Amino acid sequence: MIVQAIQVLSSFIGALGFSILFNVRGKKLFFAGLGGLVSWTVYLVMASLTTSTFLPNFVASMAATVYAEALARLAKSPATIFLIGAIIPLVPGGQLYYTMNYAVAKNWGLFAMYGQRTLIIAMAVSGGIMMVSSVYRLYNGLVFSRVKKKKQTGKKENNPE
Amino acid sequence: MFLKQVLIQAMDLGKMMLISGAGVSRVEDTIERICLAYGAREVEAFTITSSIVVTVTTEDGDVFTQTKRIKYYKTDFHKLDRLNDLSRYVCREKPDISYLEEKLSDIRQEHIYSLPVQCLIASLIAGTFAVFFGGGFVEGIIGALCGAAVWWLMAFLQKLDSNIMFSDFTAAFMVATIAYILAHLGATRDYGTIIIGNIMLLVPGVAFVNSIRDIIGGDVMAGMIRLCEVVVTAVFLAAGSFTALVLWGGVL
Repeated sequence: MIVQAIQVLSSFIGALGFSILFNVRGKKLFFAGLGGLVSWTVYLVMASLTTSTFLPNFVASMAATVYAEALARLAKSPATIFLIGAIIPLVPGGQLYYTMNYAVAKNWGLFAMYGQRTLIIAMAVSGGIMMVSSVYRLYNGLVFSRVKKKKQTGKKENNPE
Repeated sequence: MFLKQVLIQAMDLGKMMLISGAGVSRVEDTIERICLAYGAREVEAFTITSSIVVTVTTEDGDVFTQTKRIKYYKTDFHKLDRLNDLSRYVCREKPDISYLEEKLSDIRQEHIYSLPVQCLIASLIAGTFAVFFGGGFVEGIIGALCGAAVWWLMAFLQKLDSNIMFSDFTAAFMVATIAYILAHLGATRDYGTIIIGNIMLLVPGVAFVNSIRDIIGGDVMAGMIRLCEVVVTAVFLAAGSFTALVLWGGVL
């Protein structure tokens, strides 16, 4: 339990650090950092429920994207600002290292296993972002097409040209 | 002629957005909106990660084209935010074009963190992720020191105009070297977490997220180019630490 607590705390600080480095300012900075905490908490919860590598990362990255898109809407900023912090803890840097490490040790069995795991996590994370972003685009399309129709009718009335 | 001015300013804005870390579709969308807001009949914008091409057709049938080449990226979300607000304001209020020019040069001159501060933040990130991946207090401290050194080295190499792959390779090599030697001297047993913390610092997270979002937005080509960049960078990071560990493992 103490390990998880340390991970959650450090995911927050790490995401916050990246957000400072990428010059996010003001209130947005706090929420960009909080994204890391959210996604890692979701990951830990999912990881305790299943033994799969794919599923926890997939769900966590979906949660991160929902979080980022929702905040982007509230703050009227690009979603990338919040998404970076939220995705950072899920990046398979550790797996990448162990893959390399087992290549150094010439332990090809573990090398293949960790290499696979690195790829699976990368795919799970990108898949999560893709799913949620696509649904958001659909939703946006619905909303914007309505706004456009309204604007066009408004234009005809107001604009003499 | 007026639209020519608009096009120049809109492209400046688009280029700054792309450099600051915006996705391709957002850049295209912004340029199109601004040109249309100022009375262009047709706007065709095409953007990939390293280039922007825009053609504007006026009501009279005149055609203007301009291209921009992007040679480097510098993620700066505060800038991106301000540019986003500016483009929104411009499309809504259609102020005089000199206002846009003024604001752009204003945003361009905005300060970023100085190198020592950046190094401090980098050390925070590297130290934190060393702990995140299972390191103890000592690993965190060593990771943090390496992080500061890595960031300084990266800035130095970038100033010398070396290519990004080489910088990544060198940085990863340096971290693995320091970590391995310190472990050899008995300062720490677990040099792995130190290296991981610094790999996390160097992993191109922004490019990764943007490439996925580009592909979603229908810009498969731009997304694929950026995704290739990410994969190659990751391979070079691993190769840098691999080389160091093999080398020092053989020597010490």
